[in-house]
Amino acid sequence: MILGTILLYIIAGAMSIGYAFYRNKKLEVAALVSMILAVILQTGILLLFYRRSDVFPVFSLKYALLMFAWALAFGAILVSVIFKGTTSIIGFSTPFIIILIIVFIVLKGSTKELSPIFNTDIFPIHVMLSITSYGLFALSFVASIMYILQETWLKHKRIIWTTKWLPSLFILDDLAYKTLTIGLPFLTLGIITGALWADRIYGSYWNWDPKETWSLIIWFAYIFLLHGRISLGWRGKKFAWVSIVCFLLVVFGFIGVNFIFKGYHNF
Amino acid sequence: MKLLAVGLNHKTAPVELREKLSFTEDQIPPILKEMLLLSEITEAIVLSTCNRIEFYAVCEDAGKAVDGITAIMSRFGDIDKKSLSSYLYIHEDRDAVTHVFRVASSLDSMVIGEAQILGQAKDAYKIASYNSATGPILNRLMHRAFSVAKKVRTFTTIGLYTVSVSSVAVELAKKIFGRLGGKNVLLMGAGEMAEDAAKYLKDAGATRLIVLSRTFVHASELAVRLKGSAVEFDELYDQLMEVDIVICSTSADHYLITNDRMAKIVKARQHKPLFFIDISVPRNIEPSISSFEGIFLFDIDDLKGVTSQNMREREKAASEAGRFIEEEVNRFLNWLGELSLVPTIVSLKDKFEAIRQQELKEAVSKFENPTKKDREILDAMSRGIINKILHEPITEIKNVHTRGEVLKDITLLKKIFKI
Repeated sequence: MILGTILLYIIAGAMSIGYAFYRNKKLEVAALVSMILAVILQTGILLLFYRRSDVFPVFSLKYALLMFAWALAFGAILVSVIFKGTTSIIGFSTPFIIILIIVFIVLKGSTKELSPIFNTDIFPIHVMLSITSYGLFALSFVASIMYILQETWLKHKRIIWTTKWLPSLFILDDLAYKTLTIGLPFLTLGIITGALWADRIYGSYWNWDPKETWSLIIWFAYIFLLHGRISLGWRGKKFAWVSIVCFLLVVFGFIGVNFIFKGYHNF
Repeated sequence: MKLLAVGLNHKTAPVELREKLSFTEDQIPPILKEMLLLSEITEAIVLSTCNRIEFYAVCEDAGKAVDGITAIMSRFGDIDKKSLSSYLYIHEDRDAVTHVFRVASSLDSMVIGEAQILGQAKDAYKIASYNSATGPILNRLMHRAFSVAKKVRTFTTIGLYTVSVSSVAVELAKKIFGRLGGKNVLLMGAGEMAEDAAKYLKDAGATRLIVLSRTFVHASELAVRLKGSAVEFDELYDQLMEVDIVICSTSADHYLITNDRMAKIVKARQHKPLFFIDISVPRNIEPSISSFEGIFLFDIDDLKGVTSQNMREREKAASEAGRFIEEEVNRFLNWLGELSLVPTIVSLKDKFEAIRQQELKEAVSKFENPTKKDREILDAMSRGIINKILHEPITEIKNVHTRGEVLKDITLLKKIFKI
């Protein structure tokens, strides 16, 4: 099933790139359809896991990665359906989705018994909110990469097949900005629910756990980026670059922090 | 029965000749009428654009029909018939169908892939069918041609690449700004290409057009013509703060927009995108400004580079489209064969039956006292011979039909048996 999902994502990405070359509408539709099928299949995997273990499927980094990939894929579908001429985002996001799923497969599942401390109502909400924000930040990241490519090519007057494939600079900039403004409240709520949960378990809202600290850093980074956009007029390339850096912080927070520092976050 | 496409176009005839034969909509019905007066022609369509004049016809004898059509052309166009024929191309059957499909799909156009020809072909068909000049064959042919054209446009990249400098400018603007609604265009100087580009941008949705020229009177005149507003030349740098797209086509011998001045403007605009199109020669915008964030600068060579690259893409797409066309031509010819198959078989059988009846009558008359049984024997024998003779050829035609070569064979059959 998981291999089928990967295969569908690969097909979706290939179709999208094929569409760039041949501009055949059928390929564009095929890319979107296989992307939707992939997300449906992945939803099935998550639901199956939920039924088998009867716990919310995000109690380990392994499954959180799968959720993360799911969120990004779902977002990419929404974007390409809502905004006209943006299906190329499928071609750009599938590599990241596939990498996430491959890491999911390679990573050893957490074998330790699920600690009862996670079995609270608020915990799944905390995880869902955080992962939604990560998914949105990932979309912003992908849109920023696309922006930088499109901008560079336009500027150097390299009007090639990609020019038509990629959306306009305006849409890409708008997309990177909007996904970020929606993602930030989710991150904020994720941090707050996390604090509420910590209070219930440990009796204190904030314990300076490495992950907590890091999420605060990320939060400030995005606030800084938004501030730059709104008050300092960062737009275009500058905004895109900072958005990329911010997302790299997210990725490090998601995967890296736990390997370097020890904390009570499972992942 | 033959399908015929006779005509001349930009490749075969000079413009002076095409001008004489470029008929208006009112002139076409009488031509159609004349064509149908020729006894050979049963269906007719006339397609007349500034690049081509073509006559499509269903006829019995191609040679006579071509002769008649040439005569009509020479009369209506007031051209010597002899000199006319050297410019004509004549396509029959498969070639005619292929030609019509290629024309409708814009593969035969001067600018390959241009979109107008399909509309012109549709109009030509409308006029012909309105004047009852078309029948089942041309109706089908034209409908297939329109659907092939649509298919070519949908499944190849032929209509995707723009090939004029103005439309490339619009396309680039769209890739920078998304929609052009709410965007302001500044036109510096005049010139056909610059005005064209300004018009295109406005048609594509740009909100305001500001015209600026060394002499204010010129600017005002141009502004009236393009439905914009004129400003004084020394307002240039103020305008650069406001506008989104600048088309520069001035005849100054130095840079009007310099790197130093732009540095300040870019900052004050907070790097809001600004798209420069410099079609003046020598260039009037300092090229180095394109390194500023948010500034996109294309000069005439850049734009021409894009158009010629796009033209190559179109040609590639055109050869790809050939595949669709061939497929559809085969399908059409199959249908045509089917159409003429049944009547041919019927008339073949009729002919044999007539011969049989006549021979039977003669044979019976040679008996002194033919009994009923004698008649029956002769009748059965003659019927048996004919059925056996005809069985194989008819089965064979029906089989051949599936191989799509029926048209040729039917013609041969008709010739051999004089039916």
